[in-house]
Amino acid sequence: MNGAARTAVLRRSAAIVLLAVLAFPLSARAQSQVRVISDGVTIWKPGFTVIATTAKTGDVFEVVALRGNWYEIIVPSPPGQPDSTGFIAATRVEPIGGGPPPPRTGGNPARTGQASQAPRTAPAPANRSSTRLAVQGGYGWFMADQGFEAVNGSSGGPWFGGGLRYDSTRNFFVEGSLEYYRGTGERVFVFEDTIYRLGIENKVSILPLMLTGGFSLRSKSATTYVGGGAGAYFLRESAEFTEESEDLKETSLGYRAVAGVLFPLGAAAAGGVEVQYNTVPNGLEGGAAAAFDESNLGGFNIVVKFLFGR
Amino acid sequence: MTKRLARAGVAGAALILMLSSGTRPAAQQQRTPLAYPPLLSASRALAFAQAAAEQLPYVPGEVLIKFRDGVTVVEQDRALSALRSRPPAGGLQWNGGIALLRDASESNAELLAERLTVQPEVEYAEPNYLYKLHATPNDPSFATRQWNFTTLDMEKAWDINPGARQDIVVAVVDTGLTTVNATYTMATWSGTANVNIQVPFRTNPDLSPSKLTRPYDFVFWEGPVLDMDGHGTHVASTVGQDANNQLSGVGIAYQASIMPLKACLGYWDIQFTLSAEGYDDFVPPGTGGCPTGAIAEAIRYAADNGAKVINISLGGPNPSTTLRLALEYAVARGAFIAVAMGNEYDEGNPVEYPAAYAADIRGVMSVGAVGRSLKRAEYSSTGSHTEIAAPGGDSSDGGSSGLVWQATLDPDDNDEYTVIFPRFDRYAERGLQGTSMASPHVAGTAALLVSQGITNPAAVEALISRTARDLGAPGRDEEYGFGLIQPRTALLGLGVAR
Repeated sequence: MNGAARTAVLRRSAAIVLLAVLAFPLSARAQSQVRVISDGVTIWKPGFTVIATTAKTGDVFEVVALRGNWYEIIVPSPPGQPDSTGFIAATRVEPIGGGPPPPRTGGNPARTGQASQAPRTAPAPANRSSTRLAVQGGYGWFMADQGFEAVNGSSGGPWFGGGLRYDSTRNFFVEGSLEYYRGTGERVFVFEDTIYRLGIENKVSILPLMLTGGFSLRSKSATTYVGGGAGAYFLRESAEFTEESEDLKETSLGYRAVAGVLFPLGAAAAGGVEVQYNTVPNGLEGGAAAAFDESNLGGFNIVVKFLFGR
Repeated sequence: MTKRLARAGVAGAALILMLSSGTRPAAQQQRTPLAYPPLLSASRALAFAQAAAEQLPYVPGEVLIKFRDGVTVVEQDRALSALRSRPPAGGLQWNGGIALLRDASESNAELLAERLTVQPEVEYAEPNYLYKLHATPNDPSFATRQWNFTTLDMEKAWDINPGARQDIVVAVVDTGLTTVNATYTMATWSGTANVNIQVPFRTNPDLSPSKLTRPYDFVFWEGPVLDMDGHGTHVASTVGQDANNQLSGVGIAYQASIMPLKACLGYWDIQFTLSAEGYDDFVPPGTGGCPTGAIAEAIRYAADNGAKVINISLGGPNPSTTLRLALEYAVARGAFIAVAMGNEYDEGNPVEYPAAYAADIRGVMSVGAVGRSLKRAEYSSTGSHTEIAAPGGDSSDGGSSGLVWQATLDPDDNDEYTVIFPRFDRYAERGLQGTSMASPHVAGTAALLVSQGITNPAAVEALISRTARDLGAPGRDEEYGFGLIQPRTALLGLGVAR
């Protein structure tokens, strides 16, 4: 497989993983149910002016969404009639079905000024802004896979990093991060399809300093996000028998698209998975990468990410 | 100089007179056989002398013939019958599918080749051209030496690869490299009579005999390889002169083995052979050369006997298909070949062979020369086939200190213009210049690369080319090719990004 084909596969894989990450919370929402935990619980029709029905202990309803302190549920209708939705107080039910609770999709469903006791007594959950410490580690596959594989024996490697993430009240986030890759291998000469290994140790390190921003969907149980960013890629390469003045020190501009999902881990931490698609055009201008007509220093990374702070 | 020219003129005139009269020297009966069966017959030695006297570019009367595939001996006989002498096919000397014909009745080898080429059984026929060594001697100096290696940053290159390994064999196709410590009785002309003298030979003290492997003499005799010129020794020293032995000088691949292949005859080879047969005069200075048939044999021999690198510091203006086929054969068997570009820039800058073949054969590199200031040496031939440049020395660029200094035979002991009774057992650092000197720099570098694991000749060429330091016009040019070799850079190879 040539470099262009590999890059295409890498991009396709990245897209699939991104879609999978984004689809995860939707899938969880569709599977949510609640069970009524007391008798005579009122189910309101939308608008909170008309009672749709009442429920007793043990009744189970499909959940459409969690709105404030109310679940919007599907109210079964008599045969031959379409189902409708109604609202039941979250305090009178318990989630069942194994899936996480549905995400909060907005504030209180009651209309402002509506003369209804129930809506007025249900406080809406408010998104809070936060600045948290981010720590991440994972594995990355380079677009210049042949060049890296020739020298380092692998087309990818582990990545580590950290930074600060700010989430606004309006579901936007910004993250500044510094990441690190280091690979040790053996210098080579590439001629046609043959790689000659020269037995000379080679070290390459990559230090991306990135600023990423995007949009997040937050719920009580998970936060999904997508975004993009840019930053500087600091590339260093040195070898046995070379002097420091001969080492490669290049800085290139790189771009990134990310998607991820984070789950709360207690009151002051969250953890999840992030996928990154990075492109650094002309980040590689020589060496084994050039011998394979590879010039992009970017790649596809999957990292496990932890956020600390409130 | 006048004395030398007079001597050359008298000897040449006498020789031409003798050849034209068809008579043999009166003293021919007083034979002094060589210590080993000669490969160089008296008649052939005379042919070399005739070539020198008449400045012929070939060995008189000798033609290399390649018959078409499937041609029988009967058909070969029919083709040969086109010649006036009608030589039998059974008298041909074969090597690698190429036949050498010696026709005593017709010295014009070009005429012989023309007649044979038009025969339907013959694929090609060509004179057995005489190529010349691409070196120009100069006065020795004990000033700064081996600037060439400093220029190439060899000390740091040797940190990466300390002089290759002994299992890496570099064949030097040249005038030979003495492989024995011995004294032989040789006949020579004293000026008044042919006399037998004791001629001592000794191996180069700065090139360990243990590094010499499978030497072979293709032109002089069946005995040990002897250098009676010094060119081959100088070239071999650039490739593999010992290091760290407290003797001055070093070679690039100082741990590699050297395969001395004698394919060139020098003045004393001819003089001793003719005097042994009773020829009573000096042969003309400058007599000798490298028959393309012998060069081709040596190249094939090197490839068949494990040489991974071959150095050819010689050439001539006449193309030789025989030689080209030998180059292709050797490369196909895994040998990288460095070839001197030629020293004829000021003589009309003719295209030289086998250098001109290098451009078409991956694994063969034509090498031009630069002087101390890294400008093209004034003698170094140029052309579109120039592939790489290396230090070859240039006395116009730094005087004697601008030459390439290596251990070789002491020139005071065997100078053909001034010495009557030569000896070949004393060595000295000698400064020479020429693409002959540049080529072994590339051969030595190739030996380092092969020992580093790059075994494909085409890959060696590619690496040397890609890591060269561009000189002259940007990119590849006719003076420097891809530029000056950079052994250290080549040895370092590539990282991910550099």
